[in-house]
Amino acid sequence: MNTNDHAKKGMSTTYILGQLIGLIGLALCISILVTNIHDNLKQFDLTLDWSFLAQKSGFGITQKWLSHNSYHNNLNVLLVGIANTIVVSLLAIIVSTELGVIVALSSRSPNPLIRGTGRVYVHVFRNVPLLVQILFWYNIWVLRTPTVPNTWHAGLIALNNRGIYFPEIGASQEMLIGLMGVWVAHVLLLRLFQYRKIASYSIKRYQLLPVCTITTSAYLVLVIIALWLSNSLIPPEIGRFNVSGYHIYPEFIALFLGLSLYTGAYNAESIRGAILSVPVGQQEAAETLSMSPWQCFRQVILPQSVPGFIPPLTSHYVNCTKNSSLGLAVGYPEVFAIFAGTVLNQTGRAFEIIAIIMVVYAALSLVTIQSMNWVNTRQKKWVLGT
Amino acid sequence: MPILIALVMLLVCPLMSAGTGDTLRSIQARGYLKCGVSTGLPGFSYIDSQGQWQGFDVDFCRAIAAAIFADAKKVEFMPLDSKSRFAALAAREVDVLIRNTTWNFTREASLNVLFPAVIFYDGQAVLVRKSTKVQTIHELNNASICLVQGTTSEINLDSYMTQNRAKFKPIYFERSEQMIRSYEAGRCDAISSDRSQLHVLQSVMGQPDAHIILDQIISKEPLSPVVRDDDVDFFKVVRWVVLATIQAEEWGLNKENYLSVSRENPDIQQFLGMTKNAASAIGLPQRFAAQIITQVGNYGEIYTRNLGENSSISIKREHNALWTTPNGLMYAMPSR
Repeated sequence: MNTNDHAKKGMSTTYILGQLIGLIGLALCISILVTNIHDNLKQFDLTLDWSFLAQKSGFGITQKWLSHNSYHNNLNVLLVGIANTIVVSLLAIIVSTELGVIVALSSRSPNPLIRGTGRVYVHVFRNVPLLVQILFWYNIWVLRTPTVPNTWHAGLIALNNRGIYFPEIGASQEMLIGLMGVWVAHVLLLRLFQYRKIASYSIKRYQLLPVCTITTSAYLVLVIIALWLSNSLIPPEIGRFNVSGYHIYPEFIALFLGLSLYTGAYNAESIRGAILSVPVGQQEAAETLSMSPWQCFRQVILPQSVPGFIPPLTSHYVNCTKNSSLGLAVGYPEVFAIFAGTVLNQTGRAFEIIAIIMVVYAALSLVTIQSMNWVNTRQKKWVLGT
Repeated sequence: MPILIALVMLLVCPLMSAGTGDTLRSIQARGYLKCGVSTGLPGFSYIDSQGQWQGFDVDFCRAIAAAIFADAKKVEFMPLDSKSRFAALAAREVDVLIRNTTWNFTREASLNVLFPAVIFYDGQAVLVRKSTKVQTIHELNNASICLVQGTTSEINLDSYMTQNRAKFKPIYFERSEQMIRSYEAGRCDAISSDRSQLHVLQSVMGQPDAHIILDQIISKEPLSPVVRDDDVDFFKVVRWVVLATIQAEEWGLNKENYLSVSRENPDIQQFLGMTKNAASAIGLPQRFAAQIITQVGNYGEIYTRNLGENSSISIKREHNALWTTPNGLMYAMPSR
């Protein structure tokens, strides 16, 4: 059936009638549901009241990326929670994708040890429930790493059962902004290289990201060495109760490890499947053209497999974001734990809070899906390096 | 999970016909009381090795059933977590909530609930390792303190530390079992909760003697049953069941002696329903107090059995003793 047939069918009266009936049925269902909620709430004398969002929260949050103390309002708790959810999900998505690619490639390896390790990883981490994995990492960390008085030191880094400590940076605000400026300038310069042939060399578009990653890492190493030489790094110090310094908590580590390894196993299988879906003839044809194994993979197999793994990866990413709500079990303050937990109990506004939480997760999922659709429409250009 | 069920009920159930003001009648028609308790809190409400609900809160549920039905067994217990308790009450999943709930202004003013009477005067305290040599709570500057989330303890501790210009790192846990395990492993320097809870938690630790509950009390936590505010008659039922247990202790009435003691005192005779009293005005039988005493016991007996000397927790009575003792606050309004 070609597009014309679809258009013709779309015009037919029965088709339009069917659509209309369906639409009316759907509208009816929604209106019954809404009226019912309204009537039931009225019956129980529960009116929707959103004013609790402006009330003082009254409690502090230890692990956060946005500022918060007990004087901030409940809306700020929601924002802190969303930020915590985004940070842990985004990091887990990035790491799980890298893991997925590596493990999927390992399945093509001629070395049985590498192949076997990849298979074992997938089987173990895909078959154990995520909650169990998160609790496992958490308990390992809290029970098996040194306590505060026995904190393990290695130069600028410290480690104990309350987390990992990095040195605080003693440099001034202006200096840090300056260092950021240099980094932004270097990215802009790379973009310039991409469009103009300067010094008889141009960077192809698909090379931009890898080159940028390498230069950024090199820059970071240089900055750290410079800060260290100028005594601007304050090493972690053990106090009466806690260690000072920039601190990553075991709750975060457990949730991040759990999410990354679990999602990574799913990603690996989806990518492996997409690679396998490319007909064997393609590889054989490339080999007859005496392409190297890497060329063959990079120029022939990969471009044809990308459309096959973007849709499953999208749903793994969405799942990863939703699964981050398991942080509740180890006390990581993501949006579900602190907003639908503490704030709900303080204010008792269960209906409003659950509604907000549902909207938040739906929005995060939609953003993920939209970004992946955007990647999907552009992937051909990127993969073929044009 | 119960909270989701309550919300789904709100979404999909057809309009329920239960009007206001007939809680007692619907309990009588149903044949048993639905009582919301905790999901497991030694001393207050928990399931024992025989599969029976036991505890201080549980006994007050039984006392209400004894008053209404003359049968303390006619109770269905519904375990609720701290997040879902008020939603379950509002959705009529339970008739009364007796679940370690603090009576405060915000809750009574904004949640369409009423608090009939205090059954336990609690207060928030802090437990530390003896080896830290901490004497007062504000010495815990920059310490990590473990808390159970979804309770009033977060706000109390925060405002206490702020007043004393001390900082701390709160670590929140969903359940107290996890909190205890992490504290024992050294994840935090102290735990903070209601004093009664700390006693319970200390009793289940590996080395209870290595820890100490600091004397300071940083908040008032009057624990009370909770009912919906659309039925004042049932509110009165719950209030006077609680007061009857206290009054019975004041007069020293128990199931062995109540018949003999009542002979001399006309007030006691009226209280026990041997002469006419006002119980029928709120729908209770004349003999409701006698039914509570014979089937459940007086306040002192309930306390001793679940939290006092006869339990593994053994919390001193202090504020929960009768008003005739030095620190006691338990005071029953006259039963005339």
